[in-house]
Amino acid sequence: MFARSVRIALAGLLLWSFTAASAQAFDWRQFEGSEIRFMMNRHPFTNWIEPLVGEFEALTGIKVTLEVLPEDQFRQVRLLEVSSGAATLDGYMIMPGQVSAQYLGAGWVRKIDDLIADPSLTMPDLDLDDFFGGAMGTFRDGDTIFGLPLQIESSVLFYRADLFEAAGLTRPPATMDELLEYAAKLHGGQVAGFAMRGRGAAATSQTVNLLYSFGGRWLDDAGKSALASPESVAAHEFYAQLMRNYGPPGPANLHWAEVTSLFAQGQAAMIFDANVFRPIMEDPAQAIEVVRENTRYAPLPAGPAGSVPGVLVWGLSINHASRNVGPSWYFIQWALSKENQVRLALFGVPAARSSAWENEEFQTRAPADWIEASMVSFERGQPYWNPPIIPVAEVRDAYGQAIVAALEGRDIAQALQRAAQDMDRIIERAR
Amino acid sequence: MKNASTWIDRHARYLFPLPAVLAILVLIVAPVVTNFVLSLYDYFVGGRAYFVGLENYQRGLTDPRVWNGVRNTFYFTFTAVPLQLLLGIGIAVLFNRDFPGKGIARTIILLPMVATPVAIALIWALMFNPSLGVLNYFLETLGLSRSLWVAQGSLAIPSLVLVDTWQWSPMIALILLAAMQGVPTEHYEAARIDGANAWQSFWHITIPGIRSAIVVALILRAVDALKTFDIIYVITEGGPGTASETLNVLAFKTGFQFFHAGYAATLLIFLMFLVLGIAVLLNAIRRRT
Repeated sequence: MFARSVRIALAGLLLWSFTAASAQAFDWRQFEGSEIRFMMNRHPFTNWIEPLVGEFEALTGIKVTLEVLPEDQFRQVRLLEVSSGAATLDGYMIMPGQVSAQYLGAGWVRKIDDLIADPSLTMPDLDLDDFFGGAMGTFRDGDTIFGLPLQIESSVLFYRADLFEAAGLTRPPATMDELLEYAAKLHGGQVAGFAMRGRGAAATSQTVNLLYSFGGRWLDDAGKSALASPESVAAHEFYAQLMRNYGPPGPANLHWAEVTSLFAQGQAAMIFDANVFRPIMEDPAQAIEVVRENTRYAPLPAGPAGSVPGVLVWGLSINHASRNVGPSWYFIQWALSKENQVRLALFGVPAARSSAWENEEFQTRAPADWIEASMVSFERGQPYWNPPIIPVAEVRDAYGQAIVAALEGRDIAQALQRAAQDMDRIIERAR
Repeated sequence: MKNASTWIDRHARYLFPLPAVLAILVLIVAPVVTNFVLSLYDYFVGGRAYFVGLENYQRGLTDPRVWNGVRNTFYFTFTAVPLQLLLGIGIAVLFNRDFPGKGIARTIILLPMVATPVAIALIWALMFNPSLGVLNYFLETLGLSRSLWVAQGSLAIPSLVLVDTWQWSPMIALILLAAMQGVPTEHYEAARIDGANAWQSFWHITIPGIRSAIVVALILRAVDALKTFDIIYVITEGGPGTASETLNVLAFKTGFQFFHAGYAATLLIFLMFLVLGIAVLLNAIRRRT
């Protein structure tokens, strides 16, 4: 009886303290004197933020330690620290497309909905809607949010305006049917009508764009592979038709380096790959003149289920074991504020906020159609460029076998059936 | 003091080889034993390890991809090594006689062997490119039709054999050249007096004279070819599909990309027995000759 009333009293006290806290205004100096430690990938974002951390420390009085490691070691050490449950790590960089299944499944990321809802902890102009839809999407787990995006990439169509003009084409292809039609018109001589990746596992991050645009997906509602679905078969038949008829010779060997150099050397009229490869097409050492002058950009054409490109997103999350949640959340908000995202964009990293892409100075740095195509893709983007499971590389390898089979003219439905079986077995074994 | 030195004197035959024995234990025996223990576990790197006994072996023996790997390993080795032997003998014969510029020619022919394998592989990958590569340019200049090289499944291993042959024929030539220079010149003189032509003295004097060197070169090269990794991984990653995936490449992917350390260890034990078997076989042939 006594214990119960104490409990009720405590609950009341807690409630009171919460309401009292929420009545407080947002104050950068609220956590003065605390110390936080973030683990970072040696990534351009990290190069950009390292010299600026002093600004945050001066603003808040919070001391920040960034532990920076090259990507492979970064992933290993992060896994070790996070899985150990040690409170010494407060936050880390994360690419949800690679590890969200593992990190969410194990409860290693702290959900931040309660922080966002608390006006004493969240700056007034955080403006979540300013982040691209596709970027925020990768940090959503159902109705909850587990971090904020810092950079975003997606794939777009690169095409040659001069070849389009010669073929009587006045605008980029808007649908998959048009893409096929255009590729047929542009194909001939030394120039391939279209090229994208075909090299097994390495191609899956690109073919997944077709898969989703044709209405397919990685997993069905029961968590089984959906690679053999009718939508998936249609997507890969389209892919094989496009690449076998209008692609360059030896499509099963194409990685991004081959795809971009084909285009840069004037041997492909259209390619589909990551938007971040634009500088190659502007570099006199890599691209011939006619390419430098005539490269244009458009979003992924729409399939039966629309234009659904995958997005690659890096962001920041708070460690589940952190005892400095408030200061860590302050650091994330500051690092990803509107002002800082503009600075990041001008530093050369594709920022995750649309306001950064709309910045006037940034707009002078890149062609308007590239910015437009990128922004459209970021808004629509879906997060699963990798399968949402733990053994990602093994499933990409199994799916990659089906891609090669499709390019070699073998039975596509059968190859996808085998890939789906392999995928199910891999998922089962990882349990 | 005196006691210590007599103790050392008495046990010198154990003490002197001790550093070498320790090195072998630490660097060879320990990893093999660890690898064997690992092969008995189902261990997903980053997760927990479960003891599964011989399950990995059973799975390996029934896995079509493993057999594909074994087939590719043999295909690669038994195409590359005989080719290199023939070329090696030819080069050795050539350098066994005098001609102007021999020193420079010998240096040039040895260059592939001393270059960094990954750098070589990257350059060959560029040359193989069906659209932009220089090899197809040469073929067209000669009036031949273009090839897909490593981009076509059926040509992937023959193309890799080409690279391996280019790189390693000089090593066989080097071994055989040393042996040829050890064949007494009197034998050739006697043969000439008896009226033997060049082919006859090559077949009946040179070849028997260097036979054991040929077997040594074969063992060295075959063992090396069976476990080739660098050029295959860099140029094709085992592809297209699994067309050039050798057992070694499959084990690498299984361990370092798919993170199944236990199963990868099992595949490497398969490879170890494969290499051991071939080495024992060739050694038996050497003993007989």
